[in-house]
Amino acid sequence: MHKKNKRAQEEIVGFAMIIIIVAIILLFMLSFYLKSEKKDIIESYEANSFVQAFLHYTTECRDYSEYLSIRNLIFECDKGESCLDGEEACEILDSTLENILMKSWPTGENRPIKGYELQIIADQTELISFTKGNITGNYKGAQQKLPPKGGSNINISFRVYY
Amino acid sequence: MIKDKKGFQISFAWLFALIIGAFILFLAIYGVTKILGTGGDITSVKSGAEIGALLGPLETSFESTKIVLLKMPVETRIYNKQNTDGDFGKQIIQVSQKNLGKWSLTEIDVSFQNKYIFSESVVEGKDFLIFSKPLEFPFKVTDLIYLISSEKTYCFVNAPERIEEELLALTYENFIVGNCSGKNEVVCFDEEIDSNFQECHTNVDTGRREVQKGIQTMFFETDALMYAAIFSDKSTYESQIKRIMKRINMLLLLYDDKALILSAQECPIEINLLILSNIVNNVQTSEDIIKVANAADDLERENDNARCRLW
Amino acid sequence: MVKIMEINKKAQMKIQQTAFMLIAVTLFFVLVGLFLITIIFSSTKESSELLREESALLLVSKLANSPEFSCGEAFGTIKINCIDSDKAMALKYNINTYSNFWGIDGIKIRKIYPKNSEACTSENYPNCGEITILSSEGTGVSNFVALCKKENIEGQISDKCELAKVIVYYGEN
Repeated sequence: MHKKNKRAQEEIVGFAMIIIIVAIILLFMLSFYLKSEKKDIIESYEANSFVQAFLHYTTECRDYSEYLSIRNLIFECDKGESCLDGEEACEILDSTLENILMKSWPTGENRPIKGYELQIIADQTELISFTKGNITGNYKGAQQKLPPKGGSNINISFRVYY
Repeated sequence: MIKDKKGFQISFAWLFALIIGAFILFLAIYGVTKILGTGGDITSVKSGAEIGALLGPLETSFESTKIVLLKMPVETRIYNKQNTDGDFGKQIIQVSQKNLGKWSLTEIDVSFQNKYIFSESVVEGKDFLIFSKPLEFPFKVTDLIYLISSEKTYCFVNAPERIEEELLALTYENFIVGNCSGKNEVVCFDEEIDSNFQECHTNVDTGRREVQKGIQTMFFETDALMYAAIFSDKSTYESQIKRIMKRINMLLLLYDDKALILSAQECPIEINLLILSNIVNNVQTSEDIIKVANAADDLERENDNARCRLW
Repeated sequence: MVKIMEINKKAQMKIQQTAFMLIAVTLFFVLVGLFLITIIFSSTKESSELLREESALLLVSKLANSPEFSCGEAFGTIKINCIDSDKAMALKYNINTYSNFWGIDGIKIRKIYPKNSEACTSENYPNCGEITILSSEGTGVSNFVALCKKENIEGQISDKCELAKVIVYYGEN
């Protein structure tokens, strides 16, 4: 009688062990399958595209023939020129870029974007510099060099922190 | 003695267990085979879709040529098919991969309306070279994509300087200028045979704007279409030409509507798009391409002289 | 006789035990199999979703270079990452032909600076801020573009470029 009872118990234990082993294997496989890649908060092309796009923006500053784009305004600012209405090119550049950045990259504690940094440097001289929000360890950046138009080499550097 | 007479007896429990066990094994093997088959199909379709996604970076903006190397994990066959029905036709890619010495067969294909791939009907290899060139007729129509197996080398003989420079700038061993060997696909420009007396597999007549492969002739305008004729077969080339004409027709409609919008801004457009539209709608084969090119040149001049450019 | 009956009962019990055990094991593995198949096919669906997302991300970074959108040389020199607003409006009214062209569910162009949330129609263009080329409720990925058009300023036609975002939608189903 004792032997019979022990055998049944052994069989049940064996069956239970199989179930436990299979369950553990399944758990491992589940965790592997459920791992998914999250989309980045900011993609690398966004920062690049932002810089390329804002360079084409048509500003309020006019020369004799046309309203200047930000790109051309940077060169005018570098030369210390003024617009047709007497306003300084650098002032218009500054205010326009500030507004563009505010509208394009809203920052805040509860926002995905924590801060940004924009620098426009002509040779070694800083023409424009904007920093807003917090500088965190994660960022996406873009660099753009503008070929000189009879003046300095312009280097644009932009970083978005998240 | 009685025990020996009994002989071998399978108990009912064993019999039952054997039958059920065999049935379970059969179900398991059948299920695995089915999943493997479906998995193979899924891999082929995924490869096709991934190839489509890989072609995205080949979109040119102001560059003249872009190149990517496509590496596949196993020997792969890429079937290049086209459908010329509808407003844009379709670019169809079918991918077949070699697993355990056998080519997977799949009826599932991946199609794109906005891609134009020029290649042989079947391209086989482990790595593929894909490069692109923009087609302008006279505005940018699309990027033509050329697909060749990295196992194939093309040797260009007596090519114009700009072609030589462009090919050498790609810096891939698949393109050789001069010094052809027997293993190369020899492409001769304005010549019957190359200087090593190798037979030319492809003859390009830059004067008559023809590419000849054996008895087949393809007509081209612009370098982009010339490369297309060199790297593809006639049926692919002619089908893609028809699709490109449809694309040009749709773009002309957009430019026509743009002209109306600009006219409302008091910038009247005096560019006659109708002539090119009529010609493009009547293109049957690549032989009609020259008419398209001539009309495109006229339009380009009109656009250059316009107060408000359309493109 | 009693002993034979006992043996028979024992045998029947054994058969029953084996049968129940095998049924239980089979049911268990069938459940495991169903579970695995669900995961495998959901991973296929996820792969398909990932591919669509990847496709949309690639497209949004390149859409401005598409001939149907690009500025080309219409605004002076060649501009990269520039969408011709007038062409986009023309495309909006021809979108039936283009509905499956790019393999995505929706395209929208939204002005960022100067901001204007008014939807563009043939009546209010160009004094509006959002051009819905192809409408969709799916997931959107966006990219910055310059949105350029010809504008009549004091009787003179000038090029005017503003900052906008192009949004590509996918995964509507």
